[in-house]
Amino acid sequence: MRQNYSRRQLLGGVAAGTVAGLAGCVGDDDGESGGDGDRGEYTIVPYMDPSPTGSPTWERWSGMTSYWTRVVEPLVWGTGDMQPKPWLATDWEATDDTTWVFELREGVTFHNGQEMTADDVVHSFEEDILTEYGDFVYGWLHLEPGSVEKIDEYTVEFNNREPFAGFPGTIAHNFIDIHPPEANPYDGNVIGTGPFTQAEVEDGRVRVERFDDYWGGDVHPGALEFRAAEDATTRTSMLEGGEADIILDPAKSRVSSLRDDDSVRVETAQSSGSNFVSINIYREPTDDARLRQALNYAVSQEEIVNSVLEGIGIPARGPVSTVIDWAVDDELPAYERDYDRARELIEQSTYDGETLSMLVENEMDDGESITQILQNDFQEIGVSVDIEVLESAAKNDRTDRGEFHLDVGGSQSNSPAADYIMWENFHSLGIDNIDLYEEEGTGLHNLGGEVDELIETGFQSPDPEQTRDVYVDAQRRIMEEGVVIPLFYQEYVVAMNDSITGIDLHPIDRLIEWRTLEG
Amino acid sequence: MSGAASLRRRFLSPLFDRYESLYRSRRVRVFLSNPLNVIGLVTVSILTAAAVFGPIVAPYDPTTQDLANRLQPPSLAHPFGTDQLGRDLFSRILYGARLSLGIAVLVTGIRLILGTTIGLIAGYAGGLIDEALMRLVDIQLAFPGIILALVIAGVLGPSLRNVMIALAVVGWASYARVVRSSVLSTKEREFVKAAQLMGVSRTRITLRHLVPNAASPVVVLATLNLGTVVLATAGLSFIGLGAQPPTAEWGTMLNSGRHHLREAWWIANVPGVAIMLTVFGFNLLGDGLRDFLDPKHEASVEKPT
Amino acid sequence: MRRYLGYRVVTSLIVMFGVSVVTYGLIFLTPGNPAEVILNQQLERPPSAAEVAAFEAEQGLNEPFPIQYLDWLSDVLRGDLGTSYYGDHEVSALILNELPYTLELAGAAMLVALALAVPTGVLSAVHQGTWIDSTSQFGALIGVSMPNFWLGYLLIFALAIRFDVFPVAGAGSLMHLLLPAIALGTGMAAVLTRLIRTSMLEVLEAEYIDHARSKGLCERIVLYKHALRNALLPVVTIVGLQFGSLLGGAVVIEIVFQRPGVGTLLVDSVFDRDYPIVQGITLLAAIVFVLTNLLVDLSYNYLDPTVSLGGETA
Repeated sequence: MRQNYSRRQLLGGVAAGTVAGLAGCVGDDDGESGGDGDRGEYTIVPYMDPSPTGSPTWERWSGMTSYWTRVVEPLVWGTGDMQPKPWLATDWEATDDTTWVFELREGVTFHNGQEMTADDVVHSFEEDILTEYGDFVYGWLHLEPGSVEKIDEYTVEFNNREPFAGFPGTIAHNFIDIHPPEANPYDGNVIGTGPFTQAEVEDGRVRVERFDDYWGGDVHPGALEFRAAEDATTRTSMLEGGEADIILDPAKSRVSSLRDDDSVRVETAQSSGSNFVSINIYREPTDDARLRQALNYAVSQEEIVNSVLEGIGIPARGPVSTVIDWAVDDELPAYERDYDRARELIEQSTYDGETLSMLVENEMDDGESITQILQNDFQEIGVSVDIEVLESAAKNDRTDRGEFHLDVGGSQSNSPAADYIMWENFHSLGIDNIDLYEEEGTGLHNLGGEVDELIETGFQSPDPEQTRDVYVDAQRRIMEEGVVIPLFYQEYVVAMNDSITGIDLHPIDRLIEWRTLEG
Repeated sequence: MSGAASLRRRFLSPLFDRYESLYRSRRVRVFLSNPLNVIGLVTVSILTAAAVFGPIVAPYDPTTQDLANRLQPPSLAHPFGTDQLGRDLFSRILYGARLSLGIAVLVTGIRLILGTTIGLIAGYAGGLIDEALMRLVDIQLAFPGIILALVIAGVLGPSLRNVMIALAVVGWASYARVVRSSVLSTKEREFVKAAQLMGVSRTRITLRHLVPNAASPVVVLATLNLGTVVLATAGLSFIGLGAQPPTAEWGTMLNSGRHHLREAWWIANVPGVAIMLTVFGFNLLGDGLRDFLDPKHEASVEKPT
Repeated sequence: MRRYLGYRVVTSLIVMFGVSVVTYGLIFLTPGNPAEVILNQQLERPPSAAEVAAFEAEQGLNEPFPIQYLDWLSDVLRGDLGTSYYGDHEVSALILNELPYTLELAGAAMLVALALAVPTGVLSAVHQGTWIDSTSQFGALIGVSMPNFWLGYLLIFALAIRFDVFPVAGAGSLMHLLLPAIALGTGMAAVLTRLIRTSMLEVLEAEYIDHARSKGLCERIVLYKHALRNALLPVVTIVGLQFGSLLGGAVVIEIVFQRPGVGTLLVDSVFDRDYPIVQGITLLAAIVFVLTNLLVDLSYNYLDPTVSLGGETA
């Protein structure tokens, strides 16, 4: 444009566009590390976003705000070995097959100063949990609206739909929290019984503050800030840079250098989670047990753990983490890597060179590396596999329709009662299998028949011995048939400033107690 | 006369005639005298060679894992080191070159054909057809490129194929505009009017006159586009919408490499440099071609799509 | 001129209409049944046939496309961009919530770009043909060729990890803003440098500069006062028009630096199949571009009808 521009044009020619927004300080003291002894403030970075973009309010039943923050609490807690432990309820008893009577703890104060009574429990269940979430909850808790009744000021009765021995352990979950009618968690007005109260919720940041009248004892920290950093590498950098005091699950590749760092302490705990490859046993050619066993023989769990996982994790022989009392490792058949044996089995099987599809979720930690190692292993024995990294919606779509062969994933229990891992994954009426079972009589990972019966017995039996025997039997059969390829039992890692003390790790990382944090 | 020969005479010869005379002309010497142009030409040549011969020359298979030797720094055995699964980075880069260049050529080709066709029709037909087609162009241009490609690729599902579709759909409009511009000016010229009067068919006019005149800006645009498509493919793969493992694609490699920046910086940085050099080369070459083909051009600004 | 105004307004309206149709229609590219996919995500389990039907009825997904489109359009025209499939947040509220972060980033990036480009471009023009010129052109080309996400990680690595000068991620203060702004602004700087250089060159050749010189003004004043000011005019308009591309870059940079913003919202929503949000953002981006274009063209036309318009933006 060869023109002479006059001043008028200059003034008039400004286009719409940018706003030089230099202001934008949201005004938080980032980088504040705690460590003033008592009443300090600590910045904690878990692996989930505490306040995902797009919904800067307290996430009632998704996201992580119910977890980790210790603002709301359930009736029952979990011990280090995954047993139900009295919490807001002091005692419970099964008065008959389908009825539980719970005694409540007296003198528990809510954040708004009121005392917790049976009315609050009934309200929490009847007017919130059971009404807002429908079918899903009924199946999970085996409760329906109208099944929770107040007996007296501190006693509540629960009526299960069918016998459910795992009820107390199942409600030991942060989503099943007790709150008064004045609270409106859907609106951000969160009132709980925990050692911390909700203070601020913003994009990627949740702040909670000390609650002086906590029933469970003295609360040491003054406040906690939970921040978002879903990327493991970013979290680790934040710890190293002093922006965070405690992080969960640092980047695996940095763990050894963190261990070498004197200013950082690294603690690990085996969690209730385990990773394994679920095989679609109703789709050719993985419907042939010999192929599945061959795949098992091709994989070396030790190699995976020692390489991409940098030693964090325990090579597995079964699908359920050994932290859970009825999960056993040494009673299950061992598929040590044996390429020759694997190739023999392939010969005998119906496998004819088809390419199998292997799905993995894009957010699974190290998922890509693990699947590539598996693909390599399978190639060694002559089985070709196609990897598809999908986001969870798309992956669920495929698994629902049974359009896959291998599903790399796992299971984790967020409450002490882990029975549902067996049910949902391996029973014909479990969530994974029920649709296809009802439509076509098939399913995905359910052997059916006797295995179904075993799982049912375990689920309903009040006798822990019997439950254990039955579940072990079921797991053995599952492994003999090669329904899954176990990978590893998860260890979760917490890295923190060396000065910090008072953290108690729990197999369920979401139940870590921060109340006694000091440093 | 045989079909092939007549085709050659009608279509290829006119094009060739124009450029043959330039071959030894002053312009070529001017082109080669600018070091930037030479750098661009050389870079692109190296890239093309890597893409064509790379897989033959590569010392390792790009997917061969060696877990015992993961995260190794560059050495004689592995000139670019190994990645987090022990794969040779150098081989993966070579295979990645073929992939990136192949995708770039394909996507640019589709954009070019689609855009040129629309531009030709719009320019030549004029009137309402022109208006309608130009509105279509405006619509495409209204969406920021990455965003539209991201949405399309996301909706279709993550895969390189869908990324290619998305990028092809998102970038043809520039060609249409440029070609139309050229057609509008060419068709007013005397010899075209004369041809029309003589009853020469529209197709023939298009092929003999309109296309060759539009060729210059299109060639420049396409060259620049090759670079931006490589960048866009890498970007979408980085977000997670493109190549699936274990594909050796530069953007994907950068993405997996960023977790190891501390202890194995080469995994992320080598693909980064590769992408940069590729785009750089195409940019230089494109600029040089622009000066070469049309020394009187106006400065145009584009932020690549 | 009036006719031109009318023409431009009408064509802009047509384009906006087309944009809305395309935006709305995008979700129909989804393989599979969108309702099933979304419900599956929401409930974290496969939905029953009844639930799918209910969801479809509720969201109007079982109507024919034109009707769905018109429904949506009538809502949009009233300012209602729909509600997210997850929870009941209104799309417009969600976008407004994230917008400040992105605008902040874009603005800062633009400032960085100008801060880099203006001196470089001017120096290049003034010393045209020398090594200064070549070097800065070279540098500009490097800037435009570098993948901005790579640059982002390099900056994080160098300045946030190695040297601990800046925070690693997030938003909330000026320090959080600087590295992302640099990563995003560099590419833009490269483009602007070339433009400023060309623009300066043209202006420096223009006659009135000679005229100013003949008045005996000191060379420097001539340069800075007259040339620069006038050279910047096309730059200013280009800056506004490049905003769309800046937004595209912001998407990637927000991910790299884990910043909240419209880009992060978009990517998350695409992965979550939360289509109302995806549609809302895409539509807004395009509409803003069209309107900006219209404004720029009209103001040019108003101020100087001899300026040629509708020419090339290759």
